[in-house]
Amino acid sequence: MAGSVNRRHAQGAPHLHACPRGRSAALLVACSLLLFALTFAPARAAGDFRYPIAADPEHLNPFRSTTVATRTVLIQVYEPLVTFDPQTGGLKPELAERWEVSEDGLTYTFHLRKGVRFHQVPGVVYDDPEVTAEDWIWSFEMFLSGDTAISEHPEYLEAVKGARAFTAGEADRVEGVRALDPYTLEVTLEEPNHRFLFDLINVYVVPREAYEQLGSRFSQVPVGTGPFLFHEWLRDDHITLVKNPDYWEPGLPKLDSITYVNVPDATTQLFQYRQDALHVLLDFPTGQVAALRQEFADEYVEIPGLNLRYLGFKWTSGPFKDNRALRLAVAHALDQETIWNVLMEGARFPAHQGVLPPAMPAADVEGYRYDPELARQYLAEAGYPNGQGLEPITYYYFASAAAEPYHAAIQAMLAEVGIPIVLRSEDNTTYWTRVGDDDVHLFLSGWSADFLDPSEVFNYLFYQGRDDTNYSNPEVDALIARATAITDDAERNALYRQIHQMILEDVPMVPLSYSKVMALVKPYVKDFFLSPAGAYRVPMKYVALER
Amino acid sequence: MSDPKERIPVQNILVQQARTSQGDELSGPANAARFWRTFRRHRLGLVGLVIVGTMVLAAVGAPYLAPADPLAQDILRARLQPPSAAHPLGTDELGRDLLSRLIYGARISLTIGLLAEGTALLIGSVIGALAGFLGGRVDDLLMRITEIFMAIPSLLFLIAVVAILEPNVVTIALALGVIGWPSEARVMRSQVLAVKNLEYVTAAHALGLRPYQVLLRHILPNALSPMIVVGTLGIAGAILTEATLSFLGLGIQQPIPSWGTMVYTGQNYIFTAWWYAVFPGLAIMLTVLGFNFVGDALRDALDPNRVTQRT
Repeated sequence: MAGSVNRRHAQGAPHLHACPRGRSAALLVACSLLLFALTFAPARAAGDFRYPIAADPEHLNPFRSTTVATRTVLIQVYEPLVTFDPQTGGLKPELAERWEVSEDGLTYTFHLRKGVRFHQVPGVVYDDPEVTAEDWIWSFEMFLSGDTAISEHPEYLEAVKGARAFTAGEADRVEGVRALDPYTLEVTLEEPNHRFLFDLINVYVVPREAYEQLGSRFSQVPVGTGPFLFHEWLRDDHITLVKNPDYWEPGLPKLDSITYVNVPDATTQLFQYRQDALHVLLDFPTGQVAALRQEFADEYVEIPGLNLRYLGFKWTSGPFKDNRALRLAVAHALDQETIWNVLMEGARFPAHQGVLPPAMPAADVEGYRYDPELARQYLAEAGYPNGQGLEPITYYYFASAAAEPYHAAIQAMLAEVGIPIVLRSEDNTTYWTRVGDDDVHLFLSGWSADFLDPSEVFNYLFYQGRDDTNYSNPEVDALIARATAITDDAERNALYRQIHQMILEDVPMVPLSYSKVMALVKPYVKDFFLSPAGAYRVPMKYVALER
Repeated sequence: MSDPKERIPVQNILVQQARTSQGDELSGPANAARFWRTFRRHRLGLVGLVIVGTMVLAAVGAPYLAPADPLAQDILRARLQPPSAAHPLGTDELGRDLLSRLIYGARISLTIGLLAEGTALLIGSVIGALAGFLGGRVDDLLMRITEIFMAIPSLLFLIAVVAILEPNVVTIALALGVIGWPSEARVMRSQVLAVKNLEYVTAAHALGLRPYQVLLRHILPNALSPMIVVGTLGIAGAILTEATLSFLGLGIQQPIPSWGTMVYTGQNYIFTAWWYAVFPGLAIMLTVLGFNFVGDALRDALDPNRVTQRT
C-alpha cells in the first residue's frame, strides 16, 4: 500500500534529482568523518600517561574503597603513613618519616614528615593546609566510624586500643591514638598484632575541610596529599589527575598528568596499546596471552601475584556439607595443568600447592594432585559410586570470567569421574550478592591479598565463616587468632604452616590457580614498578615517559 | 450466515465486494497460487527462503547431520584447529567440532526466534486488536501501556530476567516475547482501524453479528497479512537479541552451543583462530538476513494493491 506507492515514485523520479541529494549525502559523510576525527584526535600532552581502566570506579571515597577500580585512582591521590617499597615489596616510610615500636609491641610512635600540604582545589579552603597529627586522628576516627555510609574499613584499625568501642559508638574518641605534638602520633594497640603496619597502607590522611566543604561531592572529588591532584571525571570515559606542584618529595612526580581511559574490552585495549593510545596494557585478552608474549617480548613484564582463584564449597548446606570425600573427589578430578597452561595459555600458575600464593611464607605445602582414579574412589566413599544418586550441582561463576574457557572443561573433567554439574554465569553484581546464599553450593571465586603475609588469606577466607564458603573450624579460628598476635616472623610462619595443613585437610575449597601480574609496558615508559598485589598498585609518581 | 444471505442480498454483495477488494489471500487454491507467483518474483525472498529452509533442516536433522558430538571435548589434541577434512569448520578452544556446534546451535536460535515471536504476536495481536476495535478510553489505556513497554530498554529487562530466573531457552524466549510485543500491537491496531470502518464491516454489524464475531470473522482475517510480515522480521530480531545476550555471557549457558555464546568466546581468539568467531557470526548474519528477505517478499506477495499493479 503505502510502501508500493513510494517505490513507484522513486522509480519514476527524474535522474537529475538524485544527483544533488547524493552529493549532499557525501558531503554530510565527509563532515561527520571530519568531526569524528577532530573529536577523537589524540590531543595528548607529552607528559600525559594514558592508563587503561576496564570499568569506572563506583566512587572515589577513600573511606569506602573496596575495589581495584577505586584503589587504582585513590592511591595516587591519597597517602598513608607507611607504604610498600616498590622494589622490594617490604614496608617503607611515606608520610611518617620514621617510627618506633615499644618493647612489648604495643605502642607505635610515628614521627610525621614536615611540610606535607593538602591539595589546593577549588571549593576547599584550609585554615592551615599542612598535615599534622590532628589530621591523622580525625582520619583514623573517620575510618573507624561504625556507620557504613561513612566507612567500610573500620577493620584496618581494629587492632588499635579502644577502636572497637569507638566503632560501636560506646566511646567518643579512640583511646589508643594520641598527638604528642603536631608532628608526633602515638598509637597504642589492644594486643600485639603483626598486621598493624601492613593495614596502615590503606589508611590515608584526609583533609577534614574537604570532607565538610565538598559535602556530597566528596565521593567524586578526591583531595589528599599525593603526587597527583584530581582534575576531572567524565563518567564511563576518563578520569584525569594532574601533577601536584607542591608535592613533598623533591623532583616527583615526573609525569604531568595521568589519564585513566575507560576501555571495557581487553581486545580494544590491545588495539589502543598498539596505536600508542595507551602506555601500558594490564588486561590481556584471553586466548592471546601466548601470542602477545611472543610479539611484545621486549615490552612484556611479569611477576608472581597475590590473587588466588578457587572453587568454593558451601560448608554449611548442600551436598558438600559434612561430606569431605565428595569435596576431595572434586579436588582430585581437576587437571590444573591443562586448565591453566593449555587452555589459559599460562596466564596464571596452576595451583599445585595449597591456598596461599606461592610468594608467601608457609605456602609450600602439597596441594590436591590430579588423579581421576583417586577421585572416583572418593566419590564412592562419599556415597555416590560412579556418581549414582548424585543430583547435578550448579556451578556459579561471574560474567567477567565467562569468556575464560575452562568452565566447560571443569564440567567435562568432573563428568569424567561421575560428578554432574550445570554451569551458570551471572552478571557480576548478581553473582556477588548471591554467592553467599545457602542454595549456592559450588562456585568460582577469587581473593586478592594486599601484601605478602598468610594472614591476608587466612584471616579472610578461613576465619569464623567470613568467606562465602561459610567455612569455620573453631580450632583453626583459634590458631589464626594466635598467629596474628605473634610478632616473631619465624615462630609465626611455622604456625601458619600448621594452619595451612589443617585447612587443606578440611577441603573447604579447591585452590585452582595463582595470579601472575602481567603487563605490556611501552619501551619509553620508565620505572613502572609492578607490585605483587596487582598492577594497580604501581606508584605512578616514579614513572616517567622518555621518548 | 445462510439466513441473512437470502434475506438481504444487497448487503451480501457488498460484503463479497469488500472481501475481494481487500484480498483474502490466504484462502483458496487460486489465491495461494497467486501468492506464490508474486513471492517467486522476489529473488531475494527466494534466497531468504533457502536460508531459512536450510536452517530449519539443520535444526530438525541435527543429530543426523552433525559429524560429531557438539559437546565432546578434546583439549590436548584438537584445540583451536583450523578447518580441515576432520573438522570442516575447525574446532574451538576445548577441541569441540565447530560445524556440529553450529548445526545444533540452529535449534537454539530457531526455537528462541519462533517462541519469542509467537509470544510477542499473541500478546501484541490481542492488545492491538482490542485497542483498535474498541477505541476510546480502552484504546487510550492500551496504547499508553504499549508505550510504557516500548520505553523499557529490552536488554536491561532481559538481564534482570535472567538474574531472577534461570537463563534457559524457554525463559529467554518468553522474556523476549513479553518485552517485544508493542510494535506488533501497534501494527495490529492500525490494521484494525483501517478495516473496521469499511463498508463490509458496517454490513456485518448491520446483519446483527455480535461485536466479537465481527472482530474475529471479518476484521482479523483481513488484518493478518501485515502481522505475518512483522512476525517474520520479529523472528530475526529475537535471534539477534538472544545472540546479544549470550554475547554478554548472560544468555544460553555453557556448554550448550548457542551462536551468540560462540561469537562471545570466539572473539578472544580472533587473531589466532579466526574461524571460531567468524562462522557463528556468519550463521547469525545469514539467518537474520534470510528471515528479513522472507519478510520483505511476504510483504510484497501479501500486498493486494501490489498484485493489482503487477497483473
